[in-house]
Amino acid sequence: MSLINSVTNRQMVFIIFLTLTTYSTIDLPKIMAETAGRSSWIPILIVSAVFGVGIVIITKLNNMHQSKVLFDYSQEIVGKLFTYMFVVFFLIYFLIIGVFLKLKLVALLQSNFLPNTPPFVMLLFGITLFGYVAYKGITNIARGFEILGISFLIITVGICILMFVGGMHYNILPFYNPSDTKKFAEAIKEMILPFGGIEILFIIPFTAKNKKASKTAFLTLLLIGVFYILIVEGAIMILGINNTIALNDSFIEAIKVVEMPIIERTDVFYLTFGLTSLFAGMIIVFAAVTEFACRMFAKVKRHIIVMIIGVVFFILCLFGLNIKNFNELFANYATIPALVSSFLIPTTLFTVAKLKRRAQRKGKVAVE
Amino acid sequence: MIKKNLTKHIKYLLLIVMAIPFCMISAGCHDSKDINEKLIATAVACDYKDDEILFYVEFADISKRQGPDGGGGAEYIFVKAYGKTLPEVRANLNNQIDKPIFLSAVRALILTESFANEYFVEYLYRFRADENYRKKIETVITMDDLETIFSTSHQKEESVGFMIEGLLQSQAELGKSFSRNTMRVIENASGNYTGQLIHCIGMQEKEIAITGYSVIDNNKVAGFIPVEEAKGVVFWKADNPKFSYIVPYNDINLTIEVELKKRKMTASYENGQIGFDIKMEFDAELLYGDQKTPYNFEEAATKEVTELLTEMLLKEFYVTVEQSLNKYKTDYLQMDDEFRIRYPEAFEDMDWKNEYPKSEITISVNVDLSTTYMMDYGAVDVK
Repeated sequence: MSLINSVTNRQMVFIIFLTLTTYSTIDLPKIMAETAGRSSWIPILIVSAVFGVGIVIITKLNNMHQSKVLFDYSQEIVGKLFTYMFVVFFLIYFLIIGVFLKLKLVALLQSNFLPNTPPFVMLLFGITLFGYVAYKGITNIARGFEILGISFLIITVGICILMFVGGMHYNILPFYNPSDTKKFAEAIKEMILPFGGIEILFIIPFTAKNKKASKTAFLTLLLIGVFYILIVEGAIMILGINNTIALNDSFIEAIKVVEMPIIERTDVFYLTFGLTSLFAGMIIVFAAVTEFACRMFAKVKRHIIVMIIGVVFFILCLFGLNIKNFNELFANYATIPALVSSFLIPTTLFTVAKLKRRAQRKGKVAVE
Repeated sequence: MIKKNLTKHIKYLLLIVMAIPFCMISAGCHDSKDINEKLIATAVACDYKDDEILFYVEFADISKRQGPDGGGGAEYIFVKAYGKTLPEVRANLNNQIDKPIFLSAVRALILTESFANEYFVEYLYRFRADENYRKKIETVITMDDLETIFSTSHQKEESVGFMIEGLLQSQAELGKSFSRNTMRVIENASGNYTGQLIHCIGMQEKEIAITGYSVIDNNKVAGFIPVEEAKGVVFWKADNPKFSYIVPYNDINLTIEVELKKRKMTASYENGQIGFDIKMEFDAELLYGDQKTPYNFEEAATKEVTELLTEMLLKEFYVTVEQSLNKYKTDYLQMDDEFRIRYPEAFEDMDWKNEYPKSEITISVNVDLSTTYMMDYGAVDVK
């Protein structure tokens, strides 16, 4: 199946939003409280602006080559060899992210909803479901993301507002402590993964509808930064800085303490919607692997590719289940690939494309 | 045609592949337990006597009170367990019960002074690490015998856990006390400076009551402020504190309700001297007198009564500050937060426990007194 899908700018906003916020919301307050303390909002905003630049480069590239995706225009820019290198890199990268997300989902489901269900059953069920959605293509996914994204955004922001109302203002004050500045470098490093995922736009072919995509995408990244700040500050307001550091799933723990009208178990209420974000993350990762694989193996039918990817995911997840501290390993080693995929590859392609265009123009002028 | 059939088959195959794991997920619920098959804990109490830790866990036995329609209340019982360490006591407790414990319904955590002096932090961290507990439960300290508290309440078919939760929440809503869930207690206990106040409960006749506030310093009980002497503290810490004062004026004892309108604290730090400037604004309402209802209260009289009330309040606050600075040398008024917010770097470098008692605190009080406007509907003829 060829990639003739397209998305609107609004759909793109929700794809970026759900891809980036997949799991970050749950342990982000702990990570930030540990590193930048009460001044966390500063590194979050810095990283959101930097990744904003990254996403502008990707959208510009996509707009320079409308109706094409990375696999197509990369061949025009850097040739087949580099293109295949990039695509293989992205395939492996998204496969590992997919495994990480699926294991996170299994852990979350097991600790909150299905304590007695064997993990492999959840994996089997999840992979089948996500595979089916990925098979449907990016346009259908984007339509679903619009609904999921809005509900997830409203519920999460609503809970954050309740946290601000019920929390202690002095827990988040002062907004800036000069002694936190020396920890900003570490905080920025920790923020790379929560902002990683912008490269997902490489699987979306842009059309005339996406002319203003660069501006929209940049603003989306800034808004995601604000969204993260709300989550971090809300959790610290409710739990206090020490409790936020001590609890792994600090955002969920903070939600448990929030008083909400009518709803007694706020955590279960949130998880119902929070899980949609995790599902969305896995769907888009599965879709990314599928789209790259479909391009690489153009002769193989899409459903066959989806099934093979599903089996590969399942096997890798089973391996992942048996690796101790998989999450820590992922967090330690995923930063560099995230930077490569978000900045190095897009910047290289963009620079070469620009140079080529300039050379072509010069050539034309010379001929005239 | 063949292609269409194939797609159809693939759809069926996908459906089956999805249905099988769904059945298996459902199978994961096979060993789920009905709530009746669990012991619902409503309060946990800890004591330390003769080098041994004692746990008292209150359970709601809903099965004994169920009517034919399935409704009905609960009967409360408690189980007591001993041990040398916290895990040992818990293991001993488990050995005495026939069903697994459901901890998510616990409403209150009660610690005796002796237990708090030995295990305050350890127990709170244990609580925080156990995800089965609701983190917004109340933590209180008691000087009374735990067995007496439980048996007296259970004789009246009352739950100690629910009673304490209701008591603390209603008092906070009425403006007679401040609220402080266990997560806030743990947050304070985990910080660089650990001074705080925790509600102290006890038996008054046969009722559980807030008897005062235990002063916690360095994660040990350092003192006790009786509830009668704690108005100043509550004005300092509660969200909407409101108390009645009796002001003697021209042979009449005037009852005045005083409500805190605004509280502003400003920290200063000059030449190594910590200072706080506290400004409190109150709305006061003259309710009644003990001899003659003071109708048509003149402006001059209002001014005089306001001055008398302001003086009373000021005196109360200076006693509160004096107690905190000199008697207990503990910042349970949480002035450290104000100072930390204003001078974060200086705060990090100082030992607040040593510096706080040296601080200078000035208080100013502003009272806006008004008389009650009442309408006697009985005196009006409705036509």
